[in-house]
Amino acid sequence: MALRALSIAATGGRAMMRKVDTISNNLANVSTTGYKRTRANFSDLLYQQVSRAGNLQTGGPPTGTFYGTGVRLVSTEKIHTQGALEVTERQFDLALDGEGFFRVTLPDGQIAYTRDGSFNVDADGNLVTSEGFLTDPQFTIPANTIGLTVDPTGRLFVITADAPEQPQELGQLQLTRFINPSGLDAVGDNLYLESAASGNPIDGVAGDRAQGFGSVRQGFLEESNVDVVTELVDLITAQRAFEINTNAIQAADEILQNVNNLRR
Amino acid sequence: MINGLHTSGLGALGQTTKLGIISNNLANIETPGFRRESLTFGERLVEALEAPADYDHYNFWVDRYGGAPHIASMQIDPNAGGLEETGGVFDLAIRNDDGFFAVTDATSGQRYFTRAGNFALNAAGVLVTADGKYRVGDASGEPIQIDVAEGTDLIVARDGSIRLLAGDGQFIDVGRVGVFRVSPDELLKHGDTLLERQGGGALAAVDVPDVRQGYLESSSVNPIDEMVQLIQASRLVESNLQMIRYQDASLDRLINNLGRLAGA
Repeated sequence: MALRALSIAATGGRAMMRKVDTISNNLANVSTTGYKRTRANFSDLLYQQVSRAGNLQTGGPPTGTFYGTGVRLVSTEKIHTQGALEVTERQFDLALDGEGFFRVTLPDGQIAYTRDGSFNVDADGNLVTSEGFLTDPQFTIPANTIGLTVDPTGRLFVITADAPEQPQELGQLQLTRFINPSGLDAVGDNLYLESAASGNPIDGVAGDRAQGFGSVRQGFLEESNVDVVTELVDLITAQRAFEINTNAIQAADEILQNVNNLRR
Repeated sequence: MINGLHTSGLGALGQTTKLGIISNNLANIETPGFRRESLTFGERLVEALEAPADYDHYNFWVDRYGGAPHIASMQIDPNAGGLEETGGVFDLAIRNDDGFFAVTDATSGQRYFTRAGNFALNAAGVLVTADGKYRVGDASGEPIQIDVAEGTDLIVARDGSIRLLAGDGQFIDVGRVGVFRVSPDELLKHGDTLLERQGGGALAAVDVPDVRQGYLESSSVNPIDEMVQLIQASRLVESNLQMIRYQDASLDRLINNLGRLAGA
């Protein structure tokens, strides 16, 4: 590369494009139930050492001479802060207030995790997600149910037409926590999969504060934790940073032009 | 000096070729499934100059300085572009890094490979590429016939299997889109966003195909990278041309001033 500045500014431009992509995705998901915002992390690239820093014994200047090579995207992480709870008053809408994930069984048998509690009942009375995936453990709402109550510890009670005075307990929702929820694999459809980085699943029930689990709130949905103002400010800084890098490219271009015109 | 003129000319030619490649990349920035191309140059030693024995010691060094680079190879980008959600029923994207769709030319029977999954059904109900010229192959490379009269919704699962939702709510198996493992080193561009396989040997299917319906793979061209390459290539063309100009001016002085016969 004729001038390092060209390739370095290109890495800067590329990184800012990735940041804008991330922000764009957050903004697109500002209304997605249970969505957790993504943050892009950057780091500087290798430095090329011309001379190493030294002292009087080893020789060499006190700071050394080195050239940087630019920036790279190190990782993108999901920030798992609590989203606001939105009142829906729908009996199958559940929101988690605190830590923990609902467990879902995928069609291939794998267990996935989600914060999206907008559940439904399928044709057989099973409690399913909006995609139609069964919860884990599975619950079947009886056909003659006239009301469903879910208490803050996730226990399901149904009131059936034949015994309206006696709520029957169907079971208790199971939740899962992870040591590193940001390490979960986001696979789309509001689902996460366990990964090598997330740690082993820690299973438990809602309301178990000693184990760090939050509570279940029936009739609420957890909103996306994207803060539009923060994202827009990040977008402005990313866009200006991109612009500055293109300035560096233009400057490098002009320098090369001058070099070419040294002798006409 | 004459030799230097040739060297500069070839240098400018090399960079002009690179400009052509960059232009093609930029022109294809919206082409689904397009992979950008890049050139690598290799150093080339100048041909030995025939000379009398007296100049042997000069020829030793003449043989060993460069005689302008040659194009060592042209690489096709092995990295996929981004995934774009289109919602198209016949739009397919392969998530496997080394997987390609196989298509056959309807007239010649020649097989090609592609990542561009923007397919369609022709009048005969055969799954073809967007231009209608090539038939999409199934797991054994044969064309896929879909009779839309049999059902309403077409679902392509992640393993490539195609199912039609019939009127009675049952799914009919129609076939399976083939996803084959081909190394990018074996591929040459053919046009129509298709790649031709160079090597022989058996064609293996990808172990676990991951095909997504409703998505398309975008072009892998990144405008920032291309612009930086463009700036450098055009400045280098300029530098080489300046060198030609300079060498020409020196030759001019040599021939017309120094070489002028006295009194002529």
